[in-house]
Amino acid sequence: MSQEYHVTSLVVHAAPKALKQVEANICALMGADIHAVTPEGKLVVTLEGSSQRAILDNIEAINALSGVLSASLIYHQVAPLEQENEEKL
Amino acid sequence: MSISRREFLKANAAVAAATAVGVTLPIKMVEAAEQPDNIKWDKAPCRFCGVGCSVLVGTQAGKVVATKGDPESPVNRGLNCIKGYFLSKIMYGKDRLTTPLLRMKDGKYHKEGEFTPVSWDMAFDTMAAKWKHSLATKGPTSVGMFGSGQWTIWEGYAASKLHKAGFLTNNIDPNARHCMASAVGGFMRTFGIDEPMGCYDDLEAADHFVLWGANMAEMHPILWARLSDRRLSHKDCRVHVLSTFENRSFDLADNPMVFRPQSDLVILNYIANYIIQNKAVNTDFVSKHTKFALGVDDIGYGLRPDHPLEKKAKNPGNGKSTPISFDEYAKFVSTYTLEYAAKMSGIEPEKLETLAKAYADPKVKVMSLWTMGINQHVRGVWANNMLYNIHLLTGKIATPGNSPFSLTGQPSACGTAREVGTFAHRLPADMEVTNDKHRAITEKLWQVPAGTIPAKPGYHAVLQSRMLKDGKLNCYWTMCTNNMQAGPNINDEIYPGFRNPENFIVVSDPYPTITAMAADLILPTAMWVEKEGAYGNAERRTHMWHQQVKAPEGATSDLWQLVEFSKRFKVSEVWPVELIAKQPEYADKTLYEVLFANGVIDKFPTSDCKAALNDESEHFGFYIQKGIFEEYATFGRGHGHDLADFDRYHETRGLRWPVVNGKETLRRFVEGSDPYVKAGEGFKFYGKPDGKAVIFALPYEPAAEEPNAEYDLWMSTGRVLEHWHTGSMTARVPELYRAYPDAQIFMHPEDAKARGVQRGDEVIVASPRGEVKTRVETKGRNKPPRGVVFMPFFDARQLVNKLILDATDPLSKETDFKKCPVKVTKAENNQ
Repeated sequence: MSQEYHVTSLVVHAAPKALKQVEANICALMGADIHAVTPEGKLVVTLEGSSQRAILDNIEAINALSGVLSASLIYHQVAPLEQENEEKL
Repeated sequence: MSISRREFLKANAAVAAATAVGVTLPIKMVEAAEQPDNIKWDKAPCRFCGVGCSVLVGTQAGKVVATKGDPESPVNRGLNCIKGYFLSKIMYGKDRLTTPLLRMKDGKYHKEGEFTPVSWDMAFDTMAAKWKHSLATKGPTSVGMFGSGQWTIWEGYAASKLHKAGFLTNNIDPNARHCMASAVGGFMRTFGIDEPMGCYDDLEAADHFVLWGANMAEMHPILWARLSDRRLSHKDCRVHVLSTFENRSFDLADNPMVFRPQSDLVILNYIANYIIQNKAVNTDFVSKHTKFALGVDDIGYGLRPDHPLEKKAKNPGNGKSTPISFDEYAKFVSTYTLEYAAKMSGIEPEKLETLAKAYADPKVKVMSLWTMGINQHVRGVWANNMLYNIHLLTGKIATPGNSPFSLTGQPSACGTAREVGTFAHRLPADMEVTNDKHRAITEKLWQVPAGTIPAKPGYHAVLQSRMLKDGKLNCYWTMCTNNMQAGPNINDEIYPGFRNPENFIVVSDPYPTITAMAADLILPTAMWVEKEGAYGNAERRTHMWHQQVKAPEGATSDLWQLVEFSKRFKVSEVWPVELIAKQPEYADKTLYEVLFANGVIDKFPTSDCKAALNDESEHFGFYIQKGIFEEYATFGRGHGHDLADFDRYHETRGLRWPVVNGKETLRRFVEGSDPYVKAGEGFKFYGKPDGKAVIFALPYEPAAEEPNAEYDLWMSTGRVLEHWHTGSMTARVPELYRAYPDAQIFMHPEDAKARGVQRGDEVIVASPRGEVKTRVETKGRNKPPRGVVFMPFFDARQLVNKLILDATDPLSKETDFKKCPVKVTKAENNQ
């Protein structure tokens, strides 16, 4: 089965009151990193995963977090792992 | 994969997101992202909704491999919604069509034959023979086309010209009839010119937002992100959300209101009455810039004339009105009291009053936003008129933050369907076929003889289906749309026409949609960045993109198909002798030579195109997209619809028309912003000869059908975040499909309990027109009140629109998809 590497970035907008909790909840997700947080409550988040499913599940989990007003997806890239290996050979 | 490669890809993603919100990232991350990559980036508008976000499309080895929000776009400012984010995958569904498929038996076309691969020549020969036979034996009204608000501007223009000036029929209508026709009707009736006066910049200027049925959190997520920003950064900002069921937009609502279906008409008149009763009318504005009219009532439901509801109506389809005074208008709305509005809508009086106060308070800038809830409405034109009424009474219009704003559902419902005029009654730049002068102007610009364009409107979308069924429309081509899933009353009014033995049906699509599978000939189509394109979004922004990849071998663009098909007709084969006599030199020419290689469209060399790819220009030998655009733009320049020069659009992220002296227009009808309003005029609604907008006195009238003892629930259909319309693209993106694989029926837990079902159970949803099997959802994102259910229509295996009655707004002919009485019962052998 072909192996893929997926990476996604999002801007998550949280209600200011819930910001700390949203941060903690996102950090707890597998493959999620927070790179920046703005004073207005916007978080720059990346999600990595080896399957499409994993990334999508995380997006849905973020959407469902209490205190999340919107989650906008910014960037998406898929890289096949085999191709990368070939490049390295 | 090496760790550094991963870090690089991750850094790229993070930097893109950080750019979108204007934060800086640690230097290490930025350096990682600055490593060279061999992806080629170019801009394109998103392929989905009418917001008109710009995305950067990354291509590598002839394939789209990545997309990202375009930070230079004034619309989305680097953001993407989930659909836009998976755009790179819509072209790579496994079942992409690459050859024409004709139903054949014994080596030739047969209505009951099997789909068989044929050449493009064979496909067009078969089609042309059918068209010629039909035109010769039954005349121009026997051929027609169903097009799209997803067509590029040149595709819509080519299709419209081919039909109106080539085949001499007005039987061309876009699927935008199902989504925007009531908005168009509202604009034309109130202002005499189509499309919003305001723009998205109003999102950052308004104090209060009012959502009239629109669920922007799911359907217009990028504008919702901008609106959320405003709500959280501006302390006086408030959000009022009206809907017939609780949805995700309610999360941000300060004043959430769930109303009984159809009672929006009562609420709107109540607000007008409140404004008058509380002396909040902007009398200076009203006296200078508006006038009042009483609309004809009891106008029916756009059904077949022999339907009992049509026979019962006093004035079916009548859009006339008579002038009245302000006092007469005030008296008309005076019965729409708070008590009456609360009783009819089921909303608590305090909430209604809070809403009315927002409109009435001269210090509060209000932006109203609506889309299908108001448009797909048996009184959709009225509802649009009534929304403008409350903005006009208070003078809250055309200034920053004061903005009645009609959102759109398709990427070029405005740019193509409306501005190009691909409707059965329209011509470019808001002109109409019934107007002698408008036809004359068009015939002159098209270089065809007077009398070419028929004066009678053609069959609109719903009428096309009826006429196919009745055998009056016999040769039918649909492009870029999926009406067998999206249209109303599928079993009774759409499918029979497709399979009527008298008819020959052609469907152009990239994928074997359910509409394609019901056709006689399927033509494989190039999509999105496989061709050069132009779209127009909801804020009058025209924007363009270049071809960035080749279409799969065998698939061609709608533009190529339309123009190439025109080569197969000689004028003498399709025009009557009397018409040819007016321009005899055309007799032996082809429609292609008369309509497209006409000295205007073919005057720009292919070298004018700055892109590496342009398959159509290469094929025809001239820069056809530029030629069509420039011919089309002559209709609007100097007439309030000015477009910039073609090349400007490739250099920018789009421009909002009218573009005069190179400058776009943010807000129309107001001095200082709109070049068509002179100094000292203040405001001028120049779509009307006297410069005055019309405030209409219109009553509440009931929906076509209401729940009864048997069909006891109101059902609304609509979209979900993950899918776009019928899912012909989004359901082929594995991530989106998996995120939301099957449609469901959203219902109140008590309604479920009363029917002996619970969450996840299989149920039958039925109306007098059919039934679908689905599963119950009682805890999802949509939470209907008791008595209301919601079902999305993206799922081709659950054709929910077959339950919908083909009742339309009698003026706009747009179907009401939001108020269908149904019953829900437990499916037998429930698993």
